[in-house]
Amino acid sequence: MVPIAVRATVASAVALPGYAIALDSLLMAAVATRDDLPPLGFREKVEFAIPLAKERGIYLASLGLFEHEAYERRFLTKRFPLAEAQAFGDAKLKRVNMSAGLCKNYRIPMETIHLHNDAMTWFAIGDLDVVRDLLSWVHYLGKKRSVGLGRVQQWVVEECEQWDGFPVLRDGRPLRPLPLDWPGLKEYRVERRVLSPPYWERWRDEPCAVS
Amino acid sequence: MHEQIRFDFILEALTPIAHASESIGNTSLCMREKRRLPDGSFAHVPIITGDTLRHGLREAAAYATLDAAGMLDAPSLGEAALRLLFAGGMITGSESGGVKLDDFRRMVALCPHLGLLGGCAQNRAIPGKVQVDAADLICQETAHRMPEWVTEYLRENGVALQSCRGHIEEVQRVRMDPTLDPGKRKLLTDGGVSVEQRLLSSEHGKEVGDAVLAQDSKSSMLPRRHETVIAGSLFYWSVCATLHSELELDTFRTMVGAFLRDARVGGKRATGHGRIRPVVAKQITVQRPREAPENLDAGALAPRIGSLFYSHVSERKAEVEAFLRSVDA
Repeated sequence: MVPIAVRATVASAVALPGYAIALDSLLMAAVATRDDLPPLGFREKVEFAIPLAKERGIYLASLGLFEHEAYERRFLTKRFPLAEAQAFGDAKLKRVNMSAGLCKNYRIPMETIHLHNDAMTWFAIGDLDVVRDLLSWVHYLGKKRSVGLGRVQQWVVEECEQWDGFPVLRDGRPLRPLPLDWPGLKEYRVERRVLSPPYWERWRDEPCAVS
Repeated sequence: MHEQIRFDFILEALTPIAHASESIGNTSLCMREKRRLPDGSFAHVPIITGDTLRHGLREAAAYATLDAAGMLDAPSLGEAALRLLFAGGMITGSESGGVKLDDFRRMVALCPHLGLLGGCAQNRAIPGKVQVDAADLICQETAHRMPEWVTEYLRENGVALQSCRGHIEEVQRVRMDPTLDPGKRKLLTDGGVSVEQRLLSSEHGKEVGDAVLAQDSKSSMLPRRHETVIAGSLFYWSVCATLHSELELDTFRTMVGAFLRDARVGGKRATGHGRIRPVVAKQITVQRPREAPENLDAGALAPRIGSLFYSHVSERKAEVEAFLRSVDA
């Protein structure tokens, strides 16, 4: 395990409606993609082996670091396939309520970000070659990847210099959610966050130190 | 099998494309997205969104599945099946949170395209394995972002690049008011008397400067304007999939091929807008970047391939029908 810096160059805007992307969860997603694993069920605890160092149950990897350069608004649209319902609907399909319920059409605004220099960077302690290999399975970042947002043009994974608190602290500020008693913490806010992947399991959240 | 495959295309607009983002007054604006220019500034460049193209793929795959299962001729789909096949389904909230893996595997086995495109079924969002990029207009503002083979194609074929503004045309259409035609007014039950009175009061309103009267009795002629991307414009489009079996590969090819055989995007399709065709296609196996891109015959993508997909679904015809009858999506 060596200190590594991971840099993604993206070719398009990225949708990040929640928090920044954690390298550990990205690598777990890569394992799931590589092995064609089915979707996880509710409270079904599965942990994949990823090539990152761990301390106190927390992966030693930062969240994705980036600067915003420009914003853009787009919409998520969903329409009930009415023409197909008329053509292929069975005799029982007599009415479709498109103003409420499951068939309701919607158009929801969302924001995308253009990253400064089109780059997102992570720091971690891990196995450089295996991380590089796993990241070759990741071609898109953020949400709405299915429609081309966050397309990765290039991954650069290289060994880097360490600093005090590497890779989860820089100048006493956390680069990822950390327990409040993490040594070296100086400047931080307290927020309820999840400490280990999958980060969408909000029922596991607890007070954490964040930047 | 573990493969990530990307199909790259140059698409050509055969007819103007009326792919709107929003309307201001009675003018609808063309769909644009920010693209960074080499000097670091941004330009709003016309695109065909990934959502539109992905929906096209989903629709093409759904029709191919229904065709293979022999369900195109007899209307037999319920609301949930329609939602699942053509719109990716909805979280219905009817079951507890667990995904029944057997059900999931059965669904993917019966409708292989659902495994690729994902959707909501059994109360769970299933992630897809296909990423569909937006199609970027090939123009001065995007030239620096194009892959080398696209630049080479443009050079070889002497394609001159214009600014994206040159590709946009603003046109006006009018929905006529049939009551303005005296011949058609004669078809009314009262012989057109009421309409003539209305037109007279409208004229009177204008003469005396009564805006309310003129407005209330004005004709229903509806002029509206819209921006289109002109016919002949070229787009660069890319679609990428992570594939784990020969069946998935064949389904992916069938889906893309079936879509591109008669692809239409955007609005006003009923009045000669939105037809696109592939001009050049490349297949790139992403995991082996050193390999040279392999040329694809885009026009023949679907007819030659798809045999595995079609035989797989048609062998399970009865099961597919039963599944679509009972699915909760």
